[in-house]
Amino acid sequence: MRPVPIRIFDARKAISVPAVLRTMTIDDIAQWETRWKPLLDHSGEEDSHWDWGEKYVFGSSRNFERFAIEQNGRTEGLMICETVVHLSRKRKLPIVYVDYLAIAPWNRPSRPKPEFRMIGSQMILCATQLSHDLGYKWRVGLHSLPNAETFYLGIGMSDFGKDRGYRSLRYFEFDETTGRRFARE
Amino acid sequence: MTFGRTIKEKNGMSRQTFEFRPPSEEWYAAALEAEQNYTGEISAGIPITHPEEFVSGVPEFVRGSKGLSLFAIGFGIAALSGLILTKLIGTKDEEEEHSPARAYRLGRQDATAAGYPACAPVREKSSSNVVRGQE
Repeated sequence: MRPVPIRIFDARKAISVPAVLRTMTIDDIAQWETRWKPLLDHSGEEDSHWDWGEKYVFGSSRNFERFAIEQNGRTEGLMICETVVHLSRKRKLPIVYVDYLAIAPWNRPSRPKPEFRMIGSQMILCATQLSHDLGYKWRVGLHSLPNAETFYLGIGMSDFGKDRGYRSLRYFEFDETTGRRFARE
Repeated sequence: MTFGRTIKEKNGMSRQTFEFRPPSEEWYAAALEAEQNYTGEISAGIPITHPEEFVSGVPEFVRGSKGLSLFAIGFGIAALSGLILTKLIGTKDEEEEHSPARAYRLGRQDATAAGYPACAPVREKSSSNVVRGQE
């Protein structure tokens, strides 16, 4: 995928600033290692143990798509989607499954002064567009970390409850209708 | 496994051809409002309470949904079956080690190798030796 210009919201200056959504590269992993990880280590955040280096390697299979949002040379968000294995809960139809999604520690709403917003939302929008382009009709599924559940409810995903087969994380899904509504297509 | 890929190929989709379409002003404004009202996290994946999930060598797709559970159960059953079989075979061998039937077979083989006719009553030879030794 070629880099696509987008806008994200600078919460400190209250203005939109240019950014880029593109395929994840090894440079993003280097930034995670040097910039994200020191802030996440011992932070107690739910994803602080995630090893994006490992995920990057696993995500090199054909059935994965890896994305990053970059602003001014800095990686602001990362996402890995699986496009082959997972099926929707209701009708057992193929979906784009968001395997991992995280935004940079300094952008998190839980921090005192988060820098940028509109990263997670545009990542999910990217997943729904990918679903549409694959012929999956906007269907997207994911298991949410406990602290992020309200976000996915807020954007209109259906809550299928705790998944005992997946560490009891709550499973959320966009079907054809809700996914399309979110993407405003 | 192949269903999604088939659709992907049918649509001419590939990693190179997917292109994100930047959202409209309307979408951006609505999403921004929603995000500004939100104070939690935006993460999907596996929580920190389960770091053991990251076992090297487990394929990514196995982790998905119920994959890991099924994989673990399958692996457990296979390992247990192997253990039981090994135990059973081992026990059988051990039992046979001192069984009269095994002694008979071995004696018969020895006797055959030594030129005795296969139907020779080799146990007599063996037992007579024992008797002599004891004497």
